[in-house]
Amino acid sequence: MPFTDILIMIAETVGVTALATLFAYVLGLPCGVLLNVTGKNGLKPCKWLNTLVGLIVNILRSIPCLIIIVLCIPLTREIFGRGTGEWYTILIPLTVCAFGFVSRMVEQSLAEVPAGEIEAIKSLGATDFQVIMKVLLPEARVSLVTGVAVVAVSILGYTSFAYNIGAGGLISGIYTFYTRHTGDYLGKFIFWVMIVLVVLIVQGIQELGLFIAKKLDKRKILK
Amino acid sequence: MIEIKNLEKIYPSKTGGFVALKDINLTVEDGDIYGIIGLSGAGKSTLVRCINLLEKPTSGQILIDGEDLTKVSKKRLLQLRRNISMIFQQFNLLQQRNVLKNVELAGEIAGNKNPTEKAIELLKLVGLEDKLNSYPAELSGGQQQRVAIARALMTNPKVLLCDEATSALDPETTHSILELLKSLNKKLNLTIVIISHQMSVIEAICNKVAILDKSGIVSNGYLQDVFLSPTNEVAKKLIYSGHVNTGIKGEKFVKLMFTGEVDKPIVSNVITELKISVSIMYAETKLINDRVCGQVIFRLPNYSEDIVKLTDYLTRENVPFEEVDSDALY
Repeated sequence: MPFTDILIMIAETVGVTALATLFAYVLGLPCGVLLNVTGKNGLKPCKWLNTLVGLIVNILRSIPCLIIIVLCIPLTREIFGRGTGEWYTILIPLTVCAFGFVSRMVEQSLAEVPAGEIEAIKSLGATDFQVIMKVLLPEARVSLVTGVAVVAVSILGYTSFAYNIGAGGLISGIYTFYTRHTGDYLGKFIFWVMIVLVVLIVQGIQELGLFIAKKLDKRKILK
Repeated sequence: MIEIKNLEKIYPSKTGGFVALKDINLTVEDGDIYGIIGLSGAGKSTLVRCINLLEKPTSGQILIDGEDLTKVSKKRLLQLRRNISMIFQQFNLLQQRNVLKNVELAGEIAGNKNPTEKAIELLKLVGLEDKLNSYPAELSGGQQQRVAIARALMTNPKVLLCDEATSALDPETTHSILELLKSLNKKLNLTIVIISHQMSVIEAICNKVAILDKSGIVSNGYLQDVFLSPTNEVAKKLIYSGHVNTGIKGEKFVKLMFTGEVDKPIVSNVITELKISVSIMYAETKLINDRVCGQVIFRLPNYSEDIVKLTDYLTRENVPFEEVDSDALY
């Protein structure tokens, strides 16, 4: 297997993971805010809306990713012109898979913001929108960033299913390699190289997340 | 002026609702430092949150300069809240913003596009001009409360609500924060409402006080009046704070009240001139509104002629006094 093939696979995996994470947050961040704000202890408790959105999120989270991938094929075909076979054909299903998860992560992160800080800003006459933009999101930023890293790692895991629709990437590359060398794949150097690469990418995402989170956190400052 | 009329707050529950406040009537005049004191669970924090409608009253009126907060539109309420700032026991600064940005935020919320200059000015006023770029985590409790005060002043409030604002601070820092509040009251003619469970805090700066017990106000008025004649159990508990030697059950005591008008050694005159020996059960003097106030409780003399001598003398010297029961003290 030529070196350039592996480079392409890395690019596909990292690119798809990054884009799907981005899209999942474009949808999941507002949804998580909505869940938090309409929740029992939120800024504007609204039971029916919270239950409704919560239900949608829960259903999405309950459907296994492989099933979502299959369900999304017609939609992908509608948008991209083809449903399978190219790296970008897995973007929509991965976004859908991660969306519910992201919503719950965001909801949870916002719930960690001390109620007193919100109350203090409300006492200054802030609107609910100002509380969200100036208190909830900025004060939860450390937890939100750590959440992004966790989500990205799970999405990277989901890219395994790219094998099933021929959407490429490093992990499905490893599986393809196995199917072609079923007898002696464990003895092949390149097989292990690819696995180490996956581990390195995952570690890289986690470390980057932690690094940024630490940089952003002003709560514990060593004098 | 804040007028609270027939305020009631009931938290709904499965068993019909928990009454947090009932039948609250209170008037805070402009320039007052009004203390609201009570034991934990009396409803103090709920009451102070009803004043700026962070808690919505179940019924009753909150009038700020005649405008009923419970009736105004949401938009108007947000505007009015800027006239009624608040500080908290846990300071509640935003942890991810530095000191200057925390104070600026209050200006931004009020639509001030360029709040920096004013924020720096207020931080100077509270004595923190050298901490502009520090984060709350780097500051002591007292410093954090000063930042919170600067933030509260950013909206040019007429009223400052203090919810146990010194309860998380040591006595020395408490003193300095109270001095700061006192000076703001004078300098800016800021009306202050202070919630506390400590009598010492109320005595240090308030001119008026209300005692809250079991969701209702049991006593209120000028500090010296409430302080010198505590009329109910909770008031006594808070004022004598367990320092009374109650002696034998059923004994009769006499309580002398000094309101700062009598400048004579009354007790020693009772002993040396009237030749009545007294055993003191409780004695205390305090500086209230810049006057020395105090009270002494001693055992009533055994002989009725001594009692007559004593009462004549006290009446002559204009010292208010009353007979109290040892059981009634605590």
